[in-house]
Amino acid sequence: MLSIKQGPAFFKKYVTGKDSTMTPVIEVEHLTHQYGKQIIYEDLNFTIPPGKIYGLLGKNGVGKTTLIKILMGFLRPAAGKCRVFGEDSHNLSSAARTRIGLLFEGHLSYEFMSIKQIEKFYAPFYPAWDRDIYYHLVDKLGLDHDHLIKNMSCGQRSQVVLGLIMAQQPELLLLDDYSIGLDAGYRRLFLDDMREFLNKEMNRTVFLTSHVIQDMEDFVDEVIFLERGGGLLTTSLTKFKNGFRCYRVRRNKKNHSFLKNQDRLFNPLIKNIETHADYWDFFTFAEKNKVRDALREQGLAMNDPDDLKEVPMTLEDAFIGYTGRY
Amino acid sequence: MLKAIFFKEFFKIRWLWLIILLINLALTAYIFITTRSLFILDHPEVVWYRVLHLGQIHFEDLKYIPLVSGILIACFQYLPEMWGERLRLSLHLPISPHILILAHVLVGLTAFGTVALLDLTALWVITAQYFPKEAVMTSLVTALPWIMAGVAAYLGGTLALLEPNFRFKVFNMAVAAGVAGLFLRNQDPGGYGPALTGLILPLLLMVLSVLLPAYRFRYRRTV
Repeated sequence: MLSIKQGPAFFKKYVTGKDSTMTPVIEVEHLTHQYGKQIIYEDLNFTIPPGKIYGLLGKNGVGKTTLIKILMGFLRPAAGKCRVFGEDSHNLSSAARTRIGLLFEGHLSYEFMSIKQIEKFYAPFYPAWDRDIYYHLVDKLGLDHDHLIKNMSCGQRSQVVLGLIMAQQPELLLLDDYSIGLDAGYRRLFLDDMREFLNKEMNRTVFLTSHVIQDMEDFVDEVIFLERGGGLLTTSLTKFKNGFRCYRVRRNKKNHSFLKNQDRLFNPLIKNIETHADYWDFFTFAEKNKVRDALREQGLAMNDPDDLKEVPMTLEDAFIGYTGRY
Repeated sequence: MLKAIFFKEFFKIRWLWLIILLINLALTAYIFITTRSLFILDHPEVVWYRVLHLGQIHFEDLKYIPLVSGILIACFQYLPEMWGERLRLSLHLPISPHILILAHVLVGLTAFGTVALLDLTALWVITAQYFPKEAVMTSLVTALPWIMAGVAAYLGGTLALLEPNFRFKVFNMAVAAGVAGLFLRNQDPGGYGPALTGLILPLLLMVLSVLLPAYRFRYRRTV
């Protein structure tokens, strides 16, 4: 099976969600980063306004964790600016860091400590520390407070780490791949805890990365789809679900040679193509008629109106259709 | 805030520190017994002659213990931080990175220093019991460079473990081995005496240079 994708530039016009009346919590301007010769982003731009929940979505290896590392100053970008609360991300003041709750990938924590010890360790650093929030979450696990973190499951550890972050009462929560290693139950628990926490104080901002798009439904206000090379689409999931479509064309003797000697379809309307043994799936934001005309222009013979059929998609189907399978 | 850092750091090394302390206690007891046996087996003037004029060191078993202790303390302190890059957890705390790192170093050096102090005190007591006054100072001046080698080993271990770049890591290890080696050269008892003050300088520089790999870790550039 072959997956053919359209370049990201065309889709930048779908970028939404900016609100010029509010000072952004996160600003990314002309960000460029590379590992050796491999370019991760080139001229990446976006802003996150306060009080919103943003999900950064993308396949493995597109640079989601790298972006979090840059935002928290653990990596210097090759070019461009990142600002958090108006400060350069590689030079964040202690005051700014007090306002940021950071979940590291893999629910990183000091595992040699117990539930009680780690709370005592973090508490003095944060003026607004609320130990009740921490113990409210951790006590759901039914573990003794002397239980060592290294003896916990990944799911249990995620509760401890989330409890520590929430007890800080940060204005910005940066959650790097919170879902990694969690089963469906703990993923649900994590998000329910987050919802409960966010409902208490409406002006908190959340920027999370994940590759489990189903969890984002009914949770995030906006999603940012990040692609290899730094292509970006910022939208709401509702808008994405309603606007992104899949059209299927059956393969037959007449059209069999279509795309045979091409590895891309150079038409800006088509975001992505999946080639299967019996059919092609074309993923696009465009209306059916426009897609039909575009495909005809590209030489795909379609005489019958039923040759091009819209296929219903789940959110995950749409996500994979947008980002590609590999 | 610093108290929390001190707690975390001591918590990591507490068992190792206790083991090192017990080993050093056992070693000083052994040195006491062997020194005592020297005087049982020979006349005091023969022992004094061998130690004071021929340069025999009655506590030579102590020589490499501080070096090994320094390396072990650094490993127990920083390996858990570098495993999965957990040091990022501390570096995200609202405290300046250099205070944070120097607080880490302070805990390690304090743990090492208490053991070293025990060794020097025991050496003082043992030597004062069997030898004339001038031999006490000579013994301490002889053992002090070994302690300083331990400090260099601890700081070198810290430098190498915190360093994110492999080539710098090797370089740091080489520098640390060189500095530690400076303090372990075979000399007559008390031979380091005139140079000891000057030899504090490389150790002070090593303390400050610990900040370099920490900053490279904190603000990494990968391009």
